[in-house]
Amino acid sequence: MSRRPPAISFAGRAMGSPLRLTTVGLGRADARRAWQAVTSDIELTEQSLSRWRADSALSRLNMTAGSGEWVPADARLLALLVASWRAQRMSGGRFDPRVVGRLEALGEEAGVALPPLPDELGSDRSWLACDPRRRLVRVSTPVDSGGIGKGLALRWAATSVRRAGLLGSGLLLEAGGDLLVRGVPDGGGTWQIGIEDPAGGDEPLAVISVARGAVATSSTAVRQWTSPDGDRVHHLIDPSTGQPGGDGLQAVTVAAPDPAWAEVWSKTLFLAGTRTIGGEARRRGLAAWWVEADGSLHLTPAARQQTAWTVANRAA
Amino acid sequence: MAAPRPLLHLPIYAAACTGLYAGSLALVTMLQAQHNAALTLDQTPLIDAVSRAQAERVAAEDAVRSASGALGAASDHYASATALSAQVDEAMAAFARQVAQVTGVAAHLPSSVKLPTAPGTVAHVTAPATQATTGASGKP
Repeated sequence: MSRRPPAISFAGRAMGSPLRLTTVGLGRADARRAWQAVTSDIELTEQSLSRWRADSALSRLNMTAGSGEWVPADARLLALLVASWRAQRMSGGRFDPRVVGRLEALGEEAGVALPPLPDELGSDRSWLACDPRRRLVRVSTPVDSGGIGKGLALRWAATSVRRAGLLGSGLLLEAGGDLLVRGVPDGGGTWQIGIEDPAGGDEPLAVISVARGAVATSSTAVRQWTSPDGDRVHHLIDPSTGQPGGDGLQAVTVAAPDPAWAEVWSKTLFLAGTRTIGGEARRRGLAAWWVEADGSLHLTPAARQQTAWTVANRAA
Repeated sequence: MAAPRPLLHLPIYAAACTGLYAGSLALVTMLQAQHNAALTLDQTPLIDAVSRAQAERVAAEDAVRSASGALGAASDHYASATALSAQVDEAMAAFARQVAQVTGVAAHLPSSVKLPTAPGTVAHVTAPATQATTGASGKP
């Protein structure tokens, strides 16, 4: 009787974050090929969408922002822009890829230099013009891939592994706290994912079961700094105010079929703040967990069905 | 003294008259035929319209017959549905009588029953093993 290959993990760095792949049911050679497929695909995504590379397609586009110039866009840049535009519409404007200017004004470490930015973003969605047939785009203000780019990268990387026939019996792909799972983990069952304690505790606040799909978290646990005005600020900017949002929240986690949309919804719900997050998450039918400023964990009915354990069990 | 004309001219006159009559008859016949042809031509659209109207009447009769059949079938269905509805109504009435009996019996039962305390869930003191953790992301 042949023995089933164990889970094999690889770790590296990409998109400014730790990158990790766990394969199940693949031999070592195939697992290594899967890892190469992931890293190659994510490198392609970074070449197209990185705000930190001057020669990326996104940086070249941003340099023309507001000039009225049409710029050729590769498939990934086009996908990012269209998905961002749609996310802005679906989230009622809470997700907005143009907040990059506000982030830099608040003192976040700057990427590639951007052209002059408008004082106010406005709520209209006319910042993007597309000519899909000729693959040309035009933007009126610089845009960022933050809040959706990592999810798209995970989506495309998983697709490249699947196309190479290397999914095995299970796959877990993680990039800086956002993750995607397919198949089953080593030993069967569903993937068990911990939700990090934003206060820094060693134990997770909850453990959730994910059979297939993605999980993303928006949190203020990292990327906090002191602004030029001396205020303590974080990177989750509310487009309506231009200031850090998410009053009374420390972190929001969303489980969804697609990693890009899990990322979009976690950010959108975070910006809803404690007053409206519950209603908004339930209305959209999202599986969401959130941690308020006092450390309390809350979840939607859809999330409860996926929750295997919470800190409340520990208290019992 | 002139000699009397011979009677031989008479047949010539008769032949000429006969020819003239035959020619007139042929002319009248030809004019009559032309008139008939023109009349027939004038009446053709009218005849066509009458034919169309006849065909439409036949089709309308077929449609009425078909609708009449459908109405009959629907009427039969309605009758059977009415019968079924009456049966359901009777069953509901019987069920209502049973509910009334049960309610009467339930009125004598205690309003609450004290059960021994039992743990509702099995508590994991520590978090179960996980394959990954989701959390803050971004440039470290």
